[in-house]
Amino acid sequence: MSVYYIGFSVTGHDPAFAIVDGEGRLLFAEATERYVQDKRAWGIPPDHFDHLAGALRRHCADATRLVAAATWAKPRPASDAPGDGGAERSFGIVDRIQAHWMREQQRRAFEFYGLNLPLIAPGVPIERRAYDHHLCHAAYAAASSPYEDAQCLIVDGEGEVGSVSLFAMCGRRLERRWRSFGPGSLGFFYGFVTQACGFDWRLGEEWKTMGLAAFGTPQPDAVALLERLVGLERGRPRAAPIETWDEVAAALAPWRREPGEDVLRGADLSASGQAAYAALADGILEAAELVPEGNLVLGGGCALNSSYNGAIRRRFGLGGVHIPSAPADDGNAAGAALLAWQEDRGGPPLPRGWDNPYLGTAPDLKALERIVARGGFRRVTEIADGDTGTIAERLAGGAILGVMRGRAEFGPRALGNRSILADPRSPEMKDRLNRDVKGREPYRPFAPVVLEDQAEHWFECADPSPYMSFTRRWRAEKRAQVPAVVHADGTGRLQTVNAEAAPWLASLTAELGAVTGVPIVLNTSLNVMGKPIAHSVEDAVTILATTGLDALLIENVLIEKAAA
Amino acid sequence: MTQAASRDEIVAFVSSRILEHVAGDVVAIDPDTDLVELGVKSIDAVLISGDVEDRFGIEVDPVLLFECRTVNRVADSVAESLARR
Repeated sequence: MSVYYIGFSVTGHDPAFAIVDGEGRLLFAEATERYVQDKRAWGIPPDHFDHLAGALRRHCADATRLVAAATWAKPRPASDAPGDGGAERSFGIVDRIQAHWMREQQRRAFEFYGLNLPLIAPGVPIERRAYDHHLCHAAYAAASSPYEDAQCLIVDGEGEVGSVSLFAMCGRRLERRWRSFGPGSLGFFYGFVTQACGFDWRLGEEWKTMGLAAFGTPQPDAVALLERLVGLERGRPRAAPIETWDEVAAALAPWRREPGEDVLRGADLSASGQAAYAALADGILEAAELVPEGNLVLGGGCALNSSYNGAIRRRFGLGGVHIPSAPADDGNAAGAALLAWQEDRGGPPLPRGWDNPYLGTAPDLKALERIVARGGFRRVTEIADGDTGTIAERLAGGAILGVMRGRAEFGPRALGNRSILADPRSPEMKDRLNRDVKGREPYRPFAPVVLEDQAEHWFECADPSPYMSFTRRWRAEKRAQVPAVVHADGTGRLQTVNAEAAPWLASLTAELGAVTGVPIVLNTSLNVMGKPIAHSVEDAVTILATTGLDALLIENVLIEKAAA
Repeated sequence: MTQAASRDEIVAFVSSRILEHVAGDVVAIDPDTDLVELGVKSIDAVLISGDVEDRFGIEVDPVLLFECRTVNRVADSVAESLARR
């Protein structure tokens, strides 16, 4: 008898599914946006037929029972029900029509999740279950941590009752300590700031706000206005009345940036928003019953604010801070599957071995063969397994290299398997990448890969950051060596690698150091602006063919534009 | 807070929270009056549900107040949850 637990993210945006087996192992996890190549995949069901069928064929061929687990215990109430006002008031950025639309996306996802399973696995009994949204976040975030005991704080846009939940993990068992009720959330607050900066929260452009903040200075008057939007009561966010949101929106006019205006015009407002966000997040952490030298697990979409996360451990005197590779709503598909597994086992401790982020689809080798044979590329080379020296030489020569190797990362960050890599020593590299490859704003920063045991040499803080969850300050004397990965404020959203967790990327980083003297690799996601990270071999080749990418490494096949 | 919380304590707590939220001259709450008549808005009802959860250490649905309609029925529901625990 082989039972599998399929978690489905049913928020209505960022759909995803994850598969856990009868032993509590996380076998597969991937966001739907990758498969359908539609950023955030709004309104697309998480059990997209072909995406799900492919994964089940590979991982659950012997299934005798399937449990479909949703990431919400129940959908948010319709607009006219008691408790109404959650989304509308929290946001301050969505009107009644948008709020209704968002809830409809969720209602549909919730109604239909798992209903494709009988077609994909005919004759296999299927059971549908649903779990508390923040508990799903917490289960996945805590299971992926190395800790026995930790406080686990979930901060996002909203869950069933509110936007913040605190759990205590003791002996890898979770217990809820408290949760916030009603409107008021850091997620929607940041969405409001993102809109005011001329970006689009619906497309998840909070990244742009966070990146732009480094170019600005918090303006006390703007910060004071923003602080009126969300208050805190014992760490519980409380939204101001909707009229206040309107007043603040109007009063922010001197700093506001309209879409299409010069991006730097929004810099001071982004910085002000980031400062107000940090003050709110601090207030929540102060209510999180943190223990000196204890551990903190952070989850929910707000855990993606790497600028804020960077200094939490030191500022709050913690022993460790863990953030999973997919802290937002894609990740809690894994949490739902895990909770279903736990329920069937009578509530055992959270399993270990959940720290691997490479959980998605692997490149289709047949497609690769076909492309190599028929694609008409001028130079195709088979690289010996483990030969990172050849790749390092190309990078050192100035090549911008796309990489598609092994299974895709789970979560928003490319961690070496679906990446674009480059040598960060050249001051022009950032502009080349933004302009010629990614097609995005020139200010957008790039992340550095650093060997874990050398992090202290380059950064002021040596704590591990395997999933790019933490932005840290470069040592001042090092910045000139790697201009392409130093942000305007002297920071970098680093990825630390070691030979055990990311052997290929660790080896490449060391090899590049051997060639250039600087063992740092620039790492950005294998996509172009507005599109999700490449999923298929064809997606990757399209990026090579349509951008300034110089070469593409798919598994061990190096495809180059330049002739030999 | 434990099971020892008496029904009177629950009534007193919920009434005091309602008084804090309701604007106007209301100084006392009749525990059998419909909450809507008392001027409790949906947002207040959700926040007070959260206060009840925090105070009595039981899991409370955000629609508790609106489903129960009166302070007395809220107290019955909370007392029942505490007894079940």
